[in-house]
Amino acid sequence: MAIEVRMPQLGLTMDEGQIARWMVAVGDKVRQGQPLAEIQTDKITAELESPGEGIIRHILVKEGDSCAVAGLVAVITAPGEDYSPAPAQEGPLPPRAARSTLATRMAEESPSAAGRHRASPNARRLARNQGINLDRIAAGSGAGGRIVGSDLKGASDTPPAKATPLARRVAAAAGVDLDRVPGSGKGGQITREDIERAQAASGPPPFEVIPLTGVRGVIAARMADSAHSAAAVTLTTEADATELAGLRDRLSTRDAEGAEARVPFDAILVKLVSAALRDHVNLNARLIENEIHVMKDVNIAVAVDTQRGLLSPVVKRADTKSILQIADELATLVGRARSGKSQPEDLEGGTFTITNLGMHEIDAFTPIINPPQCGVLGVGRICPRPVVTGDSLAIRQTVWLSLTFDHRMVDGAPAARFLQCVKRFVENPEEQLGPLGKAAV
Amino acid sequence: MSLISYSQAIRDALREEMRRDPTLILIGEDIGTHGGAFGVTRGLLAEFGQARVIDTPISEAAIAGAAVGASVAGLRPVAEIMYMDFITLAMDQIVNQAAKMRYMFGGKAHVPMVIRTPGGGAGRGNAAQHMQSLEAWFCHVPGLKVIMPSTPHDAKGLLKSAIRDDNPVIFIEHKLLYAIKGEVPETEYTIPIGSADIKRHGTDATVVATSRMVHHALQTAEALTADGISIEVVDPRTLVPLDIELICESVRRTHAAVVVHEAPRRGGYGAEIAAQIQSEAFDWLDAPVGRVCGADVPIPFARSLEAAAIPSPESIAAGVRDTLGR
Repeated sequence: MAIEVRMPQLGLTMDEGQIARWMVAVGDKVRQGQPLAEIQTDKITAELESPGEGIIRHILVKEGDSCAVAGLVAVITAPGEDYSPAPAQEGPLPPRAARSTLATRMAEESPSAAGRHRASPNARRLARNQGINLDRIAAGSGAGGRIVGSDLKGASDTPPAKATPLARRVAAAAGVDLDRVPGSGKGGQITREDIERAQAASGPPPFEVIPLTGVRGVIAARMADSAHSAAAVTLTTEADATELAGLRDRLSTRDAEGAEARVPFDAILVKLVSAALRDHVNLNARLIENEIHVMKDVNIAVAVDTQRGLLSPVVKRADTKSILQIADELATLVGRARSGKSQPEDLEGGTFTITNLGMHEIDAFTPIINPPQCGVLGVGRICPRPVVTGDSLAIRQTVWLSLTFDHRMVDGAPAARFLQCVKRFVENPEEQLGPLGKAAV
Repeated sequence: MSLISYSQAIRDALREEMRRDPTLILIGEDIGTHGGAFGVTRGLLAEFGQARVIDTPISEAAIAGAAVGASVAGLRPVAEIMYMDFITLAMDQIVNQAAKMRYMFGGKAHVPMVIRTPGGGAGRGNAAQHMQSLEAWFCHVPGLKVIMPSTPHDAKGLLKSAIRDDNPVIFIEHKLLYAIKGEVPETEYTIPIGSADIKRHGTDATVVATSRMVHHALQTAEALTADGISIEVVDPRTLVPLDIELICESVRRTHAAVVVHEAPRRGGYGAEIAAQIQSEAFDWLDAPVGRVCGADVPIPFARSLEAAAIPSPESIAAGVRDTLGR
């Protein structure tokens, strides 16, 4: 009895996965639970385990290619069992509207999608089964120009190059033959950059190409979405951080060898900001289509710089945890993010984001909102600065706080009051909130 | 095989079944001495006598009610309603009694009756009260089977099955089909209720047509071959139960479907067939299911308007072309 190996769903929002690497080949004997492949999703890498024992008979998705969740990626049979001919790769499942990812939403809204061809259910079924891109078919022969099944005849015999609509236009204008251009896009799709590279093909290109895929692609899509849709306003204020630094020193401990385990400022800030959000719930919100969702839990996303790009692991219900609990949790989350082993749930559910560039000697900056969240707090470096107290100058530890918020969801004055509250908590953390390190507040 | 008319095929079925089953009786207006308004029962009174071929007063409710009572009491009546238009007067007996009894008595009673009635007939100039196609009403009532044969062969084989069935069956004939002739086996045969028939094979579109429209569709198919369009004509033969498997098997090959009936389009049984096609064969369709039906008007008396009110081979061809975009 043949065993079908299908693309697993590794997170609620996962629609498709890429086979980053096959760890077995056709003909290999495999046992149940053995890793077969590395799967790359938008944010994480995971191993695809064998659902049973047998011989790998067919591999249907090439390394680097993507496949819809539940799509067939390989077939395992018993030794000697006949399983031929090779099954056609199954196409993506019908998309579930509720699960449309940001990237697909953007693709749907892009100008090239506006002129999408009409195609009959029969044509779509055939295209799905034969891996034909309906964009390739110039005009349908059905009623009103609808693409019908017979228009696909021949399309699968000599599959023409896959290319984005923009690349097609650029290629047509420049007279570049798409069949001679290697694609660097998703699934080998030819992009505009590929065409431009092909045009300048007389010598090696004067640049290195980094495809906008994986984490980079998600960041690009999210940041563009944020920049295009949010009505972002940034407020800044300088807070006295002397007490904060003192609190950090008191919470830090030394082990037997005298090595110091320092509680990171981020952990303290997560606590203070989550407490402030409890008092200013309008900032703990998301904008979903035409609704503002004021979130019941305070889940703080913390921006983390990793080799693969920016990731934002989330401390769930941070307002109910002590600083030391948050510090422990953050250490685990950041460790997983930096080693590329984040679990899907690590990165989901954030209601507000904190981003800290203090370690890079940045004083203040204008952070960008992580949609659909309402706000993000940028934290600069904490260092001694001259401060006017009364009629004299003093040297105090201070920090610049920058709050970017989405003016669609909340107005300037309430946002300012929230930032004021954060400033007050930063300046007198324990006076405002009690002994923060010890127990949940 | 012998070449006989549609009305003779029905008469032969009645005669053979009456010889076979002494409980079978006929009941209706003018079916005895006169031999029926369309001559279908001619000669049966002479052979079987007044006890089994019963002329009734002009009361459709009485005809249907007597048939229901006789069937519950152990006979196997075949009632004739002279024009389908007049069946409105028998609706309570058919809908509230015949269709319900077997269910409401938990199977202790059954109603093995057939109501034969000619529908349609636009082309005869009989106007709005004598030419209606009311099959959709009966298809909508659970507990009734609905049969609509288009050829002498199907009429004979299906009427025999209807008579032998232990449930009430509405057997809808067609006034303009009574005279057509077709090959009918000389030996005993029946056609199972619920089996459609492919009347002509084709590759480009499936035309699902009922009753007289089957013949129109066959003419359309012939005409369209000149333009290189190949039509498959499927005759459901029985509307309830519907052989959607065969219809969809055809649609999956041709990727297009056009439903044709003489009854008005709105609320017509074609809508049910189209809905079932799209739910069973959606992914094989190259176009929305087309419908070529009667106009949503009372059948006009004027010949020119009457002709415009029901599908013709030409309007079926236009419907097929619309669906195919050719």
